[in-house]
Amino acid sequence: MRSTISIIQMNEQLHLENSFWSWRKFVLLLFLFLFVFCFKELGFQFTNHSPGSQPWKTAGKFFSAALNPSFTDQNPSLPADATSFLNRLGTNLLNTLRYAFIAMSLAVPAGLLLGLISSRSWWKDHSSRANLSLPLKLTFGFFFTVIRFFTTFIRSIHELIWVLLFFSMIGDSPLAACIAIALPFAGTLAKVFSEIIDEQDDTASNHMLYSGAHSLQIFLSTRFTQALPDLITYSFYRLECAVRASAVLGFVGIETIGLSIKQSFQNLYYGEVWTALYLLIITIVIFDIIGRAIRKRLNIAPTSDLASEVDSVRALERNAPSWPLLKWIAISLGFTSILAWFVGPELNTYHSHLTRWERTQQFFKDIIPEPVKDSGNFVDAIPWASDLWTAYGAEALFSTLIIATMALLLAALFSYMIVPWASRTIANHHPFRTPSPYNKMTKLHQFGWSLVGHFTRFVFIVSRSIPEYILAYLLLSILGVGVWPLVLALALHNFGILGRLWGEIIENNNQVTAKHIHLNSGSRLQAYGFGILPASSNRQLLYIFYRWETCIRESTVLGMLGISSLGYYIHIESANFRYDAMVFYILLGTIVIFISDLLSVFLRAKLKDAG
Amino acid sequence: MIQFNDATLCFGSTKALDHCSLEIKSGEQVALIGPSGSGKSSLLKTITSENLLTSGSLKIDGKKLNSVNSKELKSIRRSIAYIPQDLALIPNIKVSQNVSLGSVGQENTLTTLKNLTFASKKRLDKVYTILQEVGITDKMFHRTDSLSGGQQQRVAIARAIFQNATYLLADEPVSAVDPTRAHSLLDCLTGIARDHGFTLICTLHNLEYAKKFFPRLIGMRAGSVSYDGLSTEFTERDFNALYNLDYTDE
Repeated sequence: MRSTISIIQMNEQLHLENSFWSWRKFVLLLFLFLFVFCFKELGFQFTNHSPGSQPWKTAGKFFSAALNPSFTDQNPSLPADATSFLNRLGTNLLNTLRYAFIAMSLAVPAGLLLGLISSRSWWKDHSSRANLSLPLKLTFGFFFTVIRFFTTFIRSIHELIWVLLFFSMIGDSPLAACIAIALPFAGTLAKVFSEIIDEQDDTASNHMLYSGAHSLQIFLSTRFTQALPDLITYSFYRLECAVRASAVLGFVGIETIGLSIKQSFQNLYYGEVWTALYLLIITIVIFDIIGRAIRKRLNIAPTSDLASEVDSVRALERNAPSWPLLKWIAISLGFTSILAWFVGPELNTYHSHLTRWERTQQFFKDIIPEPVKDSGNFVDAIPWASDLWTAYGAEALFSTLIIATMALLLAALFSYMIVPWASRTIANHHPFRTPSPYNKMTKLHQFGWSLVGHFTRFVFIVSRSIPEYILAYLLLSILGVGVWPLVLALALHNFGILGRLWGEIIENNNQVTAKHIHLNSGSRLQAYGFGILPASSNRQLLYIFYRWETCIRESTVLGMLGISSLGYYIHIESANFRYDAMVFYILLGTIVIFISDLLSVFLRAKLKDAG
Repeated sequence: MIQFNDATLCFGSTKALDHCSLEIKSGEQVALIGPSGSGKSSLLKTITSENLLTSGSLKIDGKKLNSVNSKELKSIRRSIAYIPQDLALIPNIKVSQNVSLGSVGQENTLTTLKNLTFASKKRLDKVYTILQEVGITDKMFHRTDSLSGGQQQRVAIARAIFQNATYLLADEPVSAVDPTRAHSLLDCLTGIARDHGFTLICTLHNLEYAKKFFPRLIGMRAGSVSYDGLSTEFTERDFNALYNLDYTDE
C-alpha cells in the first residue's frame, strides 16, 4: 500500500516538474511578444533629420569632443572679468550635491516613518500579537491601506512632474525643487524600507515576545535593528539617485550641472559639455565606490586579533573591532546634510507679483476642471475628461507605455548578455572562488580577465551615471526629433542599472555548483549557465518588473523634451497655465503606475512562488 | 513550580502532547529526552506560552496559563528565560547589546532603545559579569555574527541569565557543537542554574550528557511521559522502551 502511494505521489511530483508551462516560460514569451509588438509600433525610422541638415557631421563633432574636453570657456566673446567656465561648473556641481543632500535629508526621515508604518510586520506585531478586538483590527487595516496608498501615490509621480506642480503652486525656487525631489524619493524609500523590514527573519522578534516584551519594543529592537544595514545601504544608493535627479533640475532652470550641460550644448560648445558629463560621471562613480564600501563594511563583521588579556569593560570597548571609516562616513554625511541647508545661496527665493499664499490659492482654484468652475457641478467634469482622453490622453498614454516597455526590454536584452562578464566571481583569475592552484594561468591571462571585469563594470557605471533625461536631450539633438532617441536614452540608463543589480545577484548567489562544474573542466560560461543561472534567473526577472514601473515614470517625463508621451502634454498645459488639464494628465500617469505596480506585484509573486 | 495536568496539544490531527502530566519543582534541573517528534520542544514551547494547550492545564507558579489575563501572561513570560535551538540572536549587533536585550520584558520602549544605543556603565558592568560566567568577556563588544557557533550559544545563555528569570529553558543547546564544547557548555549551563537557583529544563538528544549533567530525566514518547525519574536509575530497558528498540530478533 505504502509503495503504491509513493509511486502516485512521485508521478504527481514528476508531472509538476515536467510541466511544460511555468510562470518563467510565460513571462519570457510575454517579453518576446511585447518586444515584437513595440518594435512594430515604434517603426524602423531611428533618425529624423530635416532636409539639408548635416546631422552626422554634428554628431561627429560632438563625439570627437569627447577626446578633447574643454577646461576653459569656449565662448571667445566673454568679457575678461566673467566667471570662468571651471568656476561656474564647480559651483553648479556643488549646487547639484547641495540640493541632493537637502532632498535626502527630508526624504530619509519621511521614508523611514512611512516605511515603518507601512510594513506588514508593523501591523502584524501590533494587531495579531496584541490580541486586539475585531473593530480595532479593522481600523488598523484601514490605516495600513491608506498609508500604502499614500506612499504609492507620492512615488508614482516623477520628481520633474512634482517640480512642475510645486513651481506652479508655490513659485520657482531651489527649495521647491528639493521638496519636489524629496516627495517621490520618500515614497520609494518607504516602499523599499517596508519590504526590507518585512523580509527580516522573525525568530528574534518571536523570542522577544515570549520574554514579555511589548510589540513596539519588539519591532524597534529586533526587526528594525536587523534591517538597519540594508536600510542604510539603500539610503545611500538613493542619495546617488538624488544627485542625478538634482542634475536634471538644470533643465527646468535651477542652477545645477544640468544647466551647464544644457547651455553649453545649445551653444554648440561640445568640449564644455563633455567636461560637465565627465564631472558628473566621476561624482557618481565616487558615490558608487563609497556606497560599495559601506555595504561591504555593514555586511561583514569587523574582526580583531586583539589578545584577550584585557580585563576591564572600558578597555574592551576601546579595543573592540570596528570600522572607523564607517563612523567617519556617517559623521561626514550628517554634517554635509546640515551644511547643505545653511551654507550657499538663498534656497527660498521667490519672484512674483502674487504673494505665495495667493499663488497657492490660485493654483488650487485652477486645478478644478473648467466646466466645473462654471457650473459648480462635478458631473460636468466627465465629458471634459472624456474629450481630453480621446483628443490626446489615450495616444500619449499608449506612447508612454510603448517607450517604457521597449526601452526596458532592450536594456534587459543587452545587459543579460554582458552581465556575467561584469561579475567579480566570473571575470577574474580565480572564477567561482576556485583556489588558485587549480587556475594555472599566465600573468597576461589573469590580467586579461581582470580587465574584462573592470571594463564591463565601467561600461555599466558610465551608462547609469548620466541621467536618462540628459541622455535623451543629447540623443534627440543628434538623432533628430522622434521616439527612438527617448527609447535609446531610457534603455542605456536602465542597461547600467540592471547590470549592477544582476551583477550583485550573480555575486551573492551560492557558487558551489558553478565551482564544481568549473573544477570538472567546464568553461566559465558553462559554469555560469548551469551552476548559477538556474537558481538566479527568477530573481533576475523580478528586477525587470521592478524597473518597469520606474521606466513608465521616466518615459512620462521624457515627453517634456517635446515627444508626445504624457510628459509632453503635462509640460504644454503647465506652460499655458491650464492646470486642470495638467493635473488630468498627471493623474492618468498615476493610474497607470498604480496598475503597473499591482501587475508587477502579481507577476513577482508568481515568479517567487516558482522559485 | 510547573505543573502539567492531562495536557494535550494538537496541531491539526497531529498530537504533539498526549494527556501529559508532570510536575517540575523550583530549583530542579531536568533533562527532557526522547526521539525526534516525541514532543520535547512542544512541551518547552507550551511553557513559554508559544503553544496553547488544546485540553488539560498548565500551571506556572500556581497560575493556570490558559486563564490568565494579558498582564499576568506578560509577568509569567518575564519569569521564563528561553534559549531556542536557533538561539534567536540578532546577528548584526554587539554581544553586549544582545545580552542586554534579555531584560527587554522588564523595560519600556524608550529604556530599551537607550540601553541599545547608550548603555550605562552599571549595565555594561552587569553584562560583563555575566559574560565572565559564560567565559566570553573578550567578545563583549564584538559583532555577534563574528562569533563561532559555540560562542553564540554562550551569548544566548548570557542573555537568558540577564533576564533574571526563575525558569531557564534550553532547547537542544548542544546539538550543533562538538563533544568537548558540549561538555563545557552543559557544565556552564548547569553550574549557572545551580548558582542562580534557576529551575533548568533542557531538551537533549544525547543520553550520556543527560545522565551526566542532570539529576532528573523525563523521557517523552509520542507526546506522553514514558519515563520520569532519577538519571541514576535510568536503565537500558528504559532506554529501549523510550526509543522503541527491540533486540529480541537478533
